[in-house]
Amino acid sequence: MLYTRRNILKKGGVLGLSAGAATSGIWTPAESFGQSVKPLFPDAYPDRKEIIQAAIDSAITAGASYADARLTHREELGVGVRAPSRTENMAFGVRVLYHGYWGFSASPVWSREEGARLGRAAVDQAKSNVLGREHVTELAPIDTTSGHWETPVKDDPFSIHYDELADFFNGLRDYIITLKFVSNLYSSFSFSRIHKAFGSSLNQFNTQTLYSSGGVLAMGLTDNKERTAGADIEEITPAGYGFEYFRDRPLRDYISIAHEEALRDLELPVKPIDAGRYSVLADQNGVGKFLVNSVGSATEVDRVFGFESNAGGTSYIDDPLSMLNTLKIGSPLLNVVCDRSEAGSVGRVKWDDEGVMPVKYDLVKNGVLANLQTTREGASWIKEHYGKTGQEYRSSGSASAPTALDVQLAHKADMYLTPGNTSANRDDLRAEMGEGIELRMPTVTFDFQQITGLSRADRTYEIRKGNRVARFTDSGMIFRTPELWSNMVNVGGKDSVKYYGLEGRKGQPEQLVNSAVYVPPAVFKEMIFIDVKRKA
Amino acid sequence: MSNVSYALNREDRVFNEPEARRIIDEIVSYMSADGRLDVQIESWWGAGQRWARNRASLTSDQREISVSVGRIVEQVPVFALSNQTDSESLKGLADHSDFYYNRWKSKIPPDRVTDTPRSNVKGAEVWSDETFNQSVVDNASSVEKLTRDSEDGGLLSAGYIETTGSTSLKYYRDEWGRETYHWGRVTQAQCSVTVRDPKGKGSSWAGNTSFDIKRVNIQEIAALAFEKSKKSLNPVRIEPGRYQVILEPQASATFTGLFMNTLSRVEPERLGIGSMFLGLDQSIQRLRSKLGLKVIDSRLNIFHEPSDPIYGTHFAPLHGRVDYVKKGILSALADDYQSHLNEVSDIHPAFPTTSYTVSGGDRSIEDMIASTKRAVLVVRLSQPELLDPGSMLFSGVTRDGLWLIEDGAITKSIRNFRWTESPLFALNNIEEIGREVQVFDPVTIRHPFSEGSFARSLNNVVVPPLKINDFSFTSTIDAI
Repeated sequence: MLYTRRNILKKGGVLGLSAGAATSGIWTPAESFGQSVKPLFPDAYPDRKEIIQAAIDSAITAGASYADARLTHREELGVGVRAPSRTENMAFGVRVLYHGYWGFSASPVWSREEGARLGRAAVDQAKSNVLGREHVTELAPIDTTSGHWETPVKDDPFSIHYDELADFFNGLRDYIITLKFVSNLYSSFSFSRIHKAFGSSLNQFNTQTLYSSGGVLAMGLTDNKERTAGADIEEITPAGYGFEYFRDRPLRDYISIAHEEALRDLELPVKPIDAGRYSVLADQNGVGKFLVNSVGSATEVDRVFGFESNAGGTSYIDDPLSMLNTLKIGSPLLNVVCDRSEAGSVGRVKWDDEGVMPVKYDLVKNGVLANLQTTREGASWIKEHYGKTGQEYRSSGSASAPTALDVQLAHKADMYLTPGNTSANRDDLRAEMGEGIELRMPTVTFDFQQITGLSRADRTYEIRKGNRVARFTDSGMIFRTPELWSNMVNVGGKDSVKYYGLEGRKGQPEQLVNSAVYVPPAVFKEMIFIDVKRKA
Repeated sequence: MSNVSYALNREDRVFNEPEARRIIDEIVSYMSADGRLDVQIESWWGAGQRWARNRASLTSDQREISVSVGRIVEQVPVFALSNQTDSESLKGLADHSDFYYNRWKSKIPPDRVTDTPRSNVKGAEVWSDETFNQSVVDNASSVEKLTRDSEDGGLLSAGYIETTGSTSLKYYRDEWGRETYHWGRVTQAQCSVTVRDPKGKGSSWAGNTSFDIKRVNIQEIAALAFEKSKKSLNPVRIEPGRYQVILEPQASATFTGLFMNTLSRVEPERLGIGSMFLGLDQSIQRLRSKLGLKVIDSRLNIFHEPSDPIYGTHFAPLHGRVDYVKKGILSALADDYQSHLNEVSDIHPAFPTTSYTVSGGDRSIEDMIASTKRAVLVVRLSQPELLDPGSMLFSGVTRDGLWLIEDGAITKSIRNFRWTESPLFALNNIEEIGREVQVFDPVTIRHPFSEGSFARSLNNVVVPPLKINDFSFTSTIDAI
């Protein structure tokens, strides 16, 4: 069943409050159907291959030893209560190697003439550095595959009548405000579609159309004793789907589960924490954030080699060639696999932004660092590692950029934390832990080397005899990355794995790229908790 | 499809005013709906030079356009944004805006109709031809020299130089058909350098931004980062606790910025929350802010001055000078124009708290160190996270160099700390105030995807070093 506002209104008595609340505004669905959001730009592209080839030819003629060119057309649709917000952006970026130095040039103009200009301009940029020392830049080999790929979606949100989208999400909002003690609601829903074309002087040419859907849905509860609790619908997170991501999932069930959890929270006493060491159960959201920062960011090849030191920072992996296959990051339970091919993942692609088909690989195996997330140039920096281990010398396929206006950087791949061999879910882990602390939907911040972190959660529970008995205020967990993962003593089973799309930032100028994690809940022993508001 | 009628492939790289005006007029000509309308066209050019491990890693030239059309429907903006200026795309923007405005406009309650911001204030031109015409060869030469110096000194240099130029034409039309245009152009130069020990035993940083490349001395910045990095080697652990600190200007900017971010009228006077909320005034049944009360040290003044490019301005400022804090007394809160309609107050738009000057002293940082018995010298404060909005309590880490000062001199490099402190507490516990200088605070997000405006992000922060008593360091961290 679709939980659109129309369906909810049909239920009359049960949702009378909803109908009343909503119709006190100005929304009248009957008059609104039948109009769709029109594209801001014309929908017919010029020949992208010709444009890209013009750029590459121009760059090679100007002396480049390698050139790649990208075209992106990015569309974003934000679904408001009554009207959409629309963003469309077209970009054309050309990157070249000239005597070992990179040059890059980009603009919003898609034409062969502009391609020729950008190709020359990129070489001019790179040439400026040849005043200096000789430099050799090696790029790992590549399979020159071509073709077209699209994120498989059932319902392209950009082809659906906007009112149908708005009606659906207004229905969700109306449903939530009927729930007991709900005092406020925050919601935001958006879709994006990006058409990409990539070509290089290695005779590559591919095109992709990538979709993502996501948003935020959260509610706050205040009961008649003025006690408060909150709940996020954690199942709504950036993902590689169309509108079916919302339409075909039991969102009302998710909302009900979150609401019931918040109702139970209202009944729990609230108390300050006694600083000390505790066993802690982190939910999948928390484990995902631990993973993406402490392992994900720390293993980006450019960060490891100091190319991000003036921006986001460096990494505790500061001697990669000796640390690969020897650095113990965590307990043998820590097994992390990178992949960009999982259906529904926000990071899923067929080719990265260097035309590389990403591979599936072990990033951490039995707690030991096994690989880095690489680009073609980055892979060459650890060529010795591939030789030693017999692995294929190639990029892992981590080159990404938000649009062609931005140059490619090594961004995080989607990461999978291998679950345990049991069928344990979060409730089982809590029961097994017995005494300790549970973190739900925490925030996690790391230092600029991803080695020490602070995690806080509005929903931090005291666990006694396997049950939540109180909520802690102002508590925070401080940790070092190696201790965190070494202290991981239990992880949930396969069925407890959850998916999250998370935002990553890096670079100068800063770039924002989403990637995904697939993680079970986990238990960590002897973690340090403090009263975060207590000063020295 | 030729998707841009004005290709930015010319020497001038950004739109001039007549070109921008023609594009706006074309959009407006496509629109059939009356009512309030905001249209803005911006063009941006940037040249970047990135380096790491003592060699250039990327040299770039980027150009971008932003065309936005906004309307207000039921207090909610209907917003469309693109970067194409051909007629078909401009018509697409106009049609989108018209359709949703026409659908809802008859249902907008009269008391929610908004007025249009108008101002006769003219901001300073924040434009430097030298910045706009800085050549990539000049930047490459600078990088070549500074990376050689690092290499010769056995250290690794990484950094970024960027020069940008952008232009903007804003068009407003109010409910009564009154039209205004605001034209502006801005340049910005930024340079930041991190110099690290190859084995990770020390690290430091220096940087600066200005509209004028002549005020961003690249070699001086690089030399400073290099010298500090050498002095940062092999830091030792000292116990966390409360220390007197000297916040160098960059750290001071981060810390005072946390205070500035709270200076909004909406939170205390409309929502009754935040650290500037005083309470409910029973006599008039209104929520009161701390306006008129002393909130920080009485030697400190904080102001925004749009008529001086050093102190920063934005395109089409709606106000003249704003004194946020006078002699420690909260004197103004940032406001939005719509809120102003129902209030009797000066107009203080929401954004200028990102461009401000903190003044109150004139001592050099060397003098401040020389007069110090025992303190910690801080280069940067990083990753501040709000712990308690009411008391403005934050926690973060130190970064890029930390030293112990003893008996008037720097005696040792020390390991980084996690800090937990409130600007409300610390800015009332100041020992000494230095001479204010412009710090590194560049545009952070250039992309126009989220209601983007290149110029809106332009920050100019001028702050002094501060010597503060009893600054709270709660733990040491491993990162160097």
